[in-house]
Amino acid sequence: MTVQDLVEKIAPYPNLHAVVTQVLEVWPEHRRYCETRFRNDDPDYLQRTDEFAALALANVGDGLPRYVQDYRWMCERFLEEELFFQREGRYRLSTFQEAYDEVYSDLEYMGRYMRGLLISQVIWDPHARAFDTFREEFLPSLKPGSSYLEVGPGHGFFLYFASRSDRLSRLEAWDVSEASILETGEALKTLGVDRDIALVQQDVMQAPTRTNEFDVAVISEVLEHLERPDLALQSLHAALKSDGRIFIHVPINSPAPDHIYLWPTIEAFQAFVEAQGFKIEVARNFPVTGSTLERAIKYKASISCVVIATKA
Amino acid sequence: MASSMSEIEIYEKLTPVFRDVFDDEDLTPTAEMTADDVEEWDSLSHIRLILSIEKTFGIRISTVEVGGLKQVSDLVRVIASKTDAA
Repeated sequence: MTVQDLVEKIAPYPNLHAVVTQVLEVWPEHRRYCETRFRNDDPDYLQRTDEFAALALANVGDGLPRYVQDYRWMCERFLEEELFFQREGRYRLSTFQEAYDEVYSDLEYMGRYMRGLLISQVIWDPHARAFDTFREEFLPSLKPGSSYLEVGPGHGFFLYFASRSDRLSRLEAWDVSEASILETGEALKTLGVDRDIALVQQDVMQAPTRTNEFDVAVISEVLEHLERPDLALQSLHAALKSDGRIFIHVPINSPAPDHIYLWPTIEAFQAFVEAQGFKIEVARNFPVTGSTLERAIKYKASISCVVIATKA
Repeated sequence: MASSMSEIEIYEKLTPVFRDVFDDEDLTPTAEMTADDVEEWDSLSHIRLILSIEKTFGIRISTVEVGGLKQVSDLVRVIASKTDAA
């Protein structure tokens, strides 16, 4: 696929086209990555990706060039982490305090990082596929009248689609950071979400009173940022009703500036989930863009692991 | 092609590295070669290539240097500067 083929393929999808062409303009060297990323996507999936890109663009406003510049900057930071990981066989950081000192306490760094991550949700195939699993497999499978809890809602994209589901009677989201939960609130307003969603500053590892309350829990790209992801899942286990279901998304072998917990294999991650009292119903594993799953496993490249599980 | 003995030695050592990383026994790196010329040369194999070169030549390539690599001649120049083989 050439860049002309790529641009023609995504031309019918205006939001996706806007994001990708901006990336190609700011970072021409990323051309081959983008060609690989979209070469096998079918029209239905491209349509859904375009809908997701529309949400990203609503969030970005007129700042797309800046967001894409920060995406490029973020990829360079990820390259540093990847080289360390492949050389040393571990993530560079291992404690929350280290991540706080290097990343979370640096407002400028965090701003660039968050802006870059937003673009990566569209451009990186594993992120997009994991989100598509949430939207196309998880949400439609929920029983009517379900109460929904999400941990770490971030840009609000999962909440956006959850809020549009007619199967959910109540939605709530937790984040340990008050600033982050406020930003989620603003993001939801920007996205036009008018359904009531309880946004609560709550540390998922400190929620002993929230038990047997929710039918559904969602935790996506959170656990790898925690020193004790087991406590977080145990807390969600308690918060779920007896037949509760959970959607968990975690990248393994995925070094990043603030990733501190490493699962070295798909099996290790799934065993971890089951050890916290869940029975896995569905497992989807999405390798780094352009790679087969077998190749990613062989060379310890990043894999986005999604499980849908029930409370055992 | 290489213009000095040190570059010739570098290319001789690079060839088996390229063939192993890209799984192509007929692949021979040339100065003008880029990732576009090798189908299997993606971001994953690029990292593997860098790490294999580090191991083969006993050097460490920085992230800045990795980011500045456009074609094989750039890689050879970095290797030459670090092996002091001139």
